[in-house]
Order: sequence, then structure tokens, then C-alpha cells
Amino acid sequence: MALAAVPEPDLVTTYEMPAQVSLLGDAWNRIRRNRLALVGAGIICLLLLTAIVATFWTPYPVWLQAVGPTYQGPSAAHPLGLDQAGRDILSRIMGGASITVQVGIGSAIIVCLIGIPLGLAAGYYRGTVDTVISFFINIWYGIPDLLVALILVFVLSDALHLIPRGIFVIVLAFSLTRWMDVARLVRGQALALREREFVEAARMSGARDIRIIASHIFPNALGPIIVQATFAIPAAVLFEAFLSFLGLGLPSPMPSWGAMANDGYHGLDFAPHIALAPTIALSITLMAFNWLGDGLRDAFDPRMRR
Amino acid sequence: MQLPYRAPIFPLLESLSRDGQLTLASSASVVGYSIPSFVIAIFALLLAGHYFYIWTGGTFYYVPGWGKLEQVPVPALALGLPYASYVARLTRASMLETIRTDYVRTAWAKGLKARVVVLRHALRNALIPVVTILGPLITGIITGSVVIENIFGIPGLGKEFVTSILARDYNIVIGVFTFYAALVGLANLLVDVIYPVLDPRIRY
Repeated sequence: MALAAVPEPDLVTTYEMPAQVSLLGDAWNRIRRNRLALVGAGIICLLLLTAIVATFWTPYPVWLQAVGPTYQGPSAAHPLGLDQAGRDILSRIMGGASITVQVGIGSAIIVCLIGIPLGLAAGYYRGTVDTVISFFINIWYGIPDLLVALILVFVLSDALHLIPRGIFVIVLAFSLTRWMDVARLVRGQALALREREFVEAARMSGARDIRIIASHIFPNALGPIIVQATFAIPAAVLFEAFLSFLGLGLPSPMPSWGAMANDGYHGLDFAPHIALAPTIALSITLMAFNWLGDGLRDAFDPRMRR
Repeated sequence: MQLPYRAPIFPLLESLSRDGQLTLASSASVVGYSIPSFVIAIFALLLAGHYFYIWTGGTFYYVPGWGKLEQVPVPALALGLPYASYVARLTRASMLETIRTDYVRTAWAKGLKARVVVLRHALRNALIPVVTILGPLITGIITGSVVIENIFGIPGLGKEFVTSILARDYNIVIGVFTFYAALVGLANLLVDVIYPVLDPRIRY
């Protein structure tokens, strides 16, 4: 009895697998269609490039005085003119870009370093931990942060001489007064995520708390964290400019945009170019970060679609 | 310190753009939010004090004897404009959400006038999240006045604060700061009092 030859089973069955898209890839696909966010990202790339170039080379040293007549307007040799001490403003704008990038990125990093662990702890453990941390978050929201940060810079570097006045003390003061936004956001995310099935599954399979937080809750909260960190950068840049404008920020020869605006403010009626260059640079930078932040928020949170 | 001039025209314009079609107003608010108040102040000073000096006659600037009404608008505009843009953005987002709700559709279906629907049904409910950020907003305005007062030479608390810090006068710094803290606390209390007026569900 001859059996019909049974066709060999097709062992390699091909399933239609949808292409796997990572969080960042998905966000990139959405942000690509957001023209304003792309413009913002382009401006930020330009800023980063300028900052990197400025650390190695500027047309003139940022501190070099009397490279030409003081208060001279824009000319071919000095495209943005010279300031009240005869310093080349283009060089100082470039140097200021470097400072801006350092302040912005440094602040975003420290804000995240403070806010994320506190938020994760509060959201995951709930109970007493949450009560204590939320209490501090709420108190910190009530204080006038700008003034407290100003006082912090003043006390740390001028009154007590603990940290020399510079970029680090400004970043520190900013981060110590603005960590709550990230902490509150992460807390909310952790509170929602800890009830999800995959966290339950991880707990059932015996994962320790630290592992659940680090490899299940934190990666899933990453999108909103990136958005919040992006919004922390313009706030920090603005804070540094604000301090330097008042003469309480970076010490004098450092080419901070805020300090340059203050220089120009004193000669506003006859040499407006000194004030206009740094203020326009500052405004464009802040705008770019806000556009990118808005774009990222829309990209990471598809439900917020309008 | 002066009352914030939070240009009410922005949220009103925004509320009329039901489908987000009024892109001019919304993009203007994005731009306005990004420009720091001291930059607006410098530009305002340059325009009003230098280029349009013939019209303004420098009336906005501090001359001995602060307190005239015509000195208020220019500094107040510089201080309030970024926050006006922020409020406009928030109102817009909240309005877009509210305008799609069922009770607004019911109001349209009843044949109410557009003004009544937009202002009473939609805007009133859309303003609740706006009032939520009013506390931080007022804090921002009060602290923001520090730099504005220095630019326009207004002899206020903020100028005193910076002058005393630069002069290393610790006692005055502590005193002015305490006053600021009290002011911010009071402003936050005021916001909490306004809450139940707008949203009757909130009770204390």
C-alpha cells in the first residue's frame, strides 16, 4: 500500500511581522513631519556647532579689548561691530554660545539626576516615601525660584566662597530650585506604570524593586522625561542670562549673552547693535528649544494629537 | 512693582479659533513666549525711548517721582508679554479640548449665540487649567519684575534687591527677600480664593 508521499511540513513558516520600531525611531517618524520642530532642531545643531568651534577658535579672543574703535557699528572686519571696550561682538557671541550650551546641558543633566530618582522612588514606593517627597515638591513649588536661585549663587560663591562664581554654581543653583518639574512628572508616570501588567509579571517572576524600577518603569517613562529635560534647557539658559544681565552671574570677561545685553543696554541710544546681537541670539536659541520641546511632546505622546 | 498687564486680547483671539485655524495668533504666542522679558524691555526702551522719543517724551521712564500712570504701560507690557503668550498657548490647548465636548455641542444645538457659547460654555470651563498655573505665573511675574525694574529704573523692591546684593548688604537682602516671600505666598493664597469662583466643584 503505497502512501502518497506526505509533503514535508514547511518548518520555516514566515509570519508577517510588523517592523519593530523603537521609542526613539517612532518619535523620529512623527517629528519628521513637524516642520517647526525640525527648524528648532536645525538651529540647535547650529548652536552646538558654534559652541564647539568657539572652544577652539573665534575670530578674535573673547576678552581682547580695543581691536578697533569702541562702540563701532557693524563693518566688514567686524560683522556685528565692537562693544564698549572695543571687543569683537561676533567672537563674544560665539563664546557665549559655548557658555549657553554648557549651562543648558549641564542644568538638564543635574535636574534629571535629582528629579528622576526622587520621582521614581515616590511613585513606586508610595506611602511614606511619596508623602515626604511630594511634600518637598509642593513646598518647592511655592517658593519664588528665581530669587532663591539668585540668593543661592550669592551665598555659595560671594558670601561663603564655597564655589567660585562661574558656570557650575549657576547650574547648581538652577537645578536645586527647578528639579520639581521632572520629579513630579516621573512620579506620575511611575504611579501609573507600577499598576501595569508587565510590572506585575516582573514582580511575579521575582525581580527586585531596583530592577523593576530601572528596567521596567524608567524606560517606559523615558519619553516624557526627554520632553521635560528639553524644556529645562531654555529655562536654564534664560536664568543664566537673567543673572548675568543683573551683574550677578558670570564674572566680567566671560562672554555671557546676558552680560553682553547689559553692556549694550548702557549705550542703547547711540550703539544699539551691542544690545541687539546678544538679545536676538538669546531669543532665537530659546525659541528653537521651545519649538523642539513642543515637537518632542507631540511626538512622544500620540494621544495629545490635536 | 506694578500690576501685570496680561493683554486679554490674546486668549480672546485664541478662543475664536475653534479649529486652530488662527495660526497667526498661535505662532505669535509661541514666539512671544520664547522672548525673555528683559529682551522685550530693551527693545521697548529702544523704540519708545529713542526712535519714538518725540511721541513718548520719555514719560515711561523713571524720573524723580515714580507713580504716574503713564509710566506703567511700557514696563508692564515688557513684563507681561511672555506670560500673556504662555496664557494664550494654554488657553488655546484647553479651548480646543473644551470646544469638542458634548455640552458645547448641546449649546450650539440649542441655537445659542456664538458669543454665549464661546464665552460662557467653553471659555469658562477652559479657563480652569489656566487658573491652575496662575500661582506659578504670579510668582514668575513678581520675580521677573526684578530685572524689569532695573532696566526701567523703577525704584521698587526688585531694584532694592539687586542693589543690596551688589553692595553685599546682607541685612537688606534678607529683609527684601522675606518681603518677596510673603508677597508670593499672598499671591498664591489669592489664586486659591479665585478657584471656587470659577469651578464650583472645588470646595475648601
